[in-house]
Amino acid sequence: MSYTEREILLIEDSPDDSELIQRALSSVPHKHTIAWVKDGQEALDYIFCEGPFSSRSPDQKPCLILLDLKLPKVTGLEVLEKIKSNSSTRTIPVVVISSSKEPKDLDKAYELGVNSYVLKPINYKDFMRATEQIGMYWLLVDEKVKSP
Amino acid sequence: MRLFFYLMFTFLSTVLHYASAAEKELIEVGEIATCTSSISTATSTSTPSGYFTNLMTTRYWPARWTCGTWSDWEGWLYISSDISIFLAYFSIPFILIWYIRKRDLGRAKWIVTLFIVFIGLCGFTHAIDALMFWVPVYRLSGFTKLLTGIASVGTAIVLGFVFPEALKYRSPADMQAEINKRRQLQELFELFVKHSPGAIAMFDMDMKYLMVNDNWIKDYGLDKEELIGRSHYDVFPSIPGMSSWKTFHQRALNGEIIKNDQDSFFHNGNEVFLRWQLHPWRTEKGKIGGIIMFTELITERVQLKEELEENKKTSYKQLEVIEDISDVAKIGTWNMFPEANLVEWSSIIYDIHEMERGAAVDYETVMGFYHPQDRIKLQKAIKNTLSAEATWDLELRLVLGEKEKWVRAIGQPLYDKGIVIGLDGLLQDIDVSKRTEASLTKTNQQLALVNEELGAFTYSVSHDLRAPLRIINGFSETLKEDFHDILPDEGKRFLSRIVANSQKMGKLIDDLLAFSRMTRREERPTQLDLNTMIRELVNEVFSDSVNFISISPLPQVYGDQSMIRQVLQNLISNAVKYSRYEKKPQIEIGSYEQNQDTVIYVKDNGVGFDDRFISKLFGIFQRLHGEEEFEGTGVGLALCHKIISRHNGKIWAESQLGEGATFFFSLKHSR
Repeated sequence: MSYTEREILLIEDSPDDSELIQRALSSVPHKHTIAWVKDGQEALDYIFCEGPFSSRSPDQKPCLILLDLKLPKVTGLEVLEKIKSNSSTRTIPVVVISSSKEPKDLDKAYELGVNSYVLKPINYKDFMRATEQIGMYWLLVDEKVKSP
Repeated sequence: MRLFFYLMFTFLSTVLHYASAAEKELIEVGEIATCTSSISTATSTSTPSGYFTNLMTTRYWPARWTCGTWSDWEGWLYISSDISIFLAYFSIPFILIWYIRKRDLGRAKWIVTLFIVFIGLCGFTHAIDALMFWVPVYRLSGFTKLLTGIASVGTAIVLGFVFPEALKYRSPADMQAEINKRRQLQELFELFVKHSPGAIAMFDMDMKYLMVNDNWIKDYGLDKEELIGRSHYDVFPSIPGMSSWKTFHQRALNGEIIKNDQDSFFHNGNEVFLRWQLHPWRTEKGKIGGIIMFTELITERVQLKEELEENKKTSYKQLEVIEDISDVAKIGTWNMFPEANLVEWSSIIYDIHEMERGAAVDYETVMGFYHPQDRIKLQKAIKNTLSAEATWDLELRLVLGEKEKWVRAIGQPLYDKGIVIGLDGLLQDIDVSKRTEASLTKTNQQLALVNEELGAFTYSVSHDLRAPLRIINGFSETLKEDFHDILPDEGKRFLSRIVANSQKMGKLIDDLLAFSRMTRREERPTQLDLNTMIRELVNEVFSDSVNFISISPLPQVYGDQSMIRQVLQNLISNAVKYSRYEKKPQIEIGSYEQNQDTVIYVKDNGVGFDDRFISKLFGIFQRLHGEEEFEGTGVGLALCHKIISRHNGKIWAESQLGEGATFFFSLKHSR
């Protein structure tokens, strides 16, 4: 069995978190690439092929979006809302990876149609395990949906 | 008297008639007959002295039987007639004498006496006429007739004088009419007295009752039959204040009119009120004949008046109370009649406007006091009331010199016979409460802002404080993984220290967040089944300790599900933690009733605490044990305290160092 190369979009302003997440995802056996953007606006430009990313093909959609909520410029929830309210991007699975346990964030995210909400565990090992599982799950789901 | 004169006159005329008829017959007999036998031949002496000395002589004339020729029939007719006239004429004087003795005839007495003499003499002449049939006492007869003549002429002359006066005397028909008229008057008078209002009594000079009306009988409970003629003082022998009454009566009998518009006395224990007047009454001659007393019982009226006065007093009192209240509450009343441009204020309203009480105000003055924006509102409201009968309740600003004052103005239409004639309402000074309200609102807004900021702060703490920790942790682990082989043991030990501390800080942040969230959250109390809650808790959280936790059945309590769960979790967690070095740890959860509350306790046999520091037990970040011995952040019990306080309950603890600790908290059974 071979896996098509997939793209995971990581929206995370912290380079440290980004590095740790990428490290965790590196152990996912499914073949994938990771695109990393550092704020909400950049994320939207990337997804909708606008601004600096206007040369990107709109058909090239990420198969999973990992989204932090606390982002510069445009917040994670705003990004989520845009993705889920646009018919061309609505089906892309979005997993929020946040350090916020606040019920209002959780409620709002689910209300906007988030596919999963993962709390960033303080314990590194837990964090690695969680991230890895998310990556595997969604890549696998995507595989099943897309493969003929 | 007049009647008598009339009778007398008729009687006299009848007698005269008969007398003259008898006289006439005698004369006729004399003219026709002639004396047929003569006893004596001597002639009569003609001198008056001889006449009177031999008045009884019969010598010179024959007896009448022998003079002329009398048949027996003729003779006895004459004689019997004369005798019957004599008897009649002689008896009439006796009747008249009896009459004048019985009746006081006044001047008429002398006329009657004259008449008695005259008629007696007439009778006597007839007796002599009869006698002369046998004894011819002509001289006596003449003399008697002379006397009769004199008496007749005298009587006639007197009657002539009396006649004009007698003419004035009324006929029996007139008299009857007079009597009828008087009777009617009398009846009218009696009705007048009977039905006159008030009680009326008429007394003579000796205070004896002459007449009373029905009210007098009724008002004083008297018997009319027994009253007339009796003395007032006999009828009321023991009336209170009789001595002063006697003085009043005496003064009235002396001609004074005395009045009293409200007098009172006690009758059968009840105070009776009356109004009275005493008037002297006078006879035709103007002499005082006694007094008339008028009384009217006015008890009901007086009581009614007193009641009214009392009511008036009460309502004045109530008014005063209302005024006091309105003074304190700074509420005044007003009314306004726009057509007359008339405005009336109660004194409080003048005070509110800081004006002199009673100063004249009109529509313009009133409006001038209001803040321009509020004036428009008020004018609109007044217009609306007059046109649509609407009421209003507005909070408006008065402008008094430099300052503004808040007032509450309430208005409503004022009706007269169903037509709106103006407005009335209330005005209250609400400046203080309005300003307090404003400052409260401001404080509340500030509080809300602080709360919001606090929310943002905790949010940021949960994100930003945790993120670096995670990174420290993450890279420490990465370091361990990637460079495990080349790190010396000392380096590995440092790394594990870094990881442990970052984890501890993570716990601290979590606890703080929980505390903050709990304080910001509204509690949603419901009826809780603590038995189920604790069973779940023990099974889920304290599964390792389930063997030494004993739970007594617990009652239902009233509280917020998740908050109370948090309290129980913290207390059980503490109990487990502080008894972990015991060989046989024992934790007991139970309850008891106290002052209508339920007290829940969690008891352990652990290390306990030094109760000198009990006051620090529930303070945030306060710990009574070293970190090395027992880990902890000092937030758990502070959170418990916060939650139970918000449930209006109490939380406390008892312990001896080394002998375990018991934590208690109280909750309500129900709402």
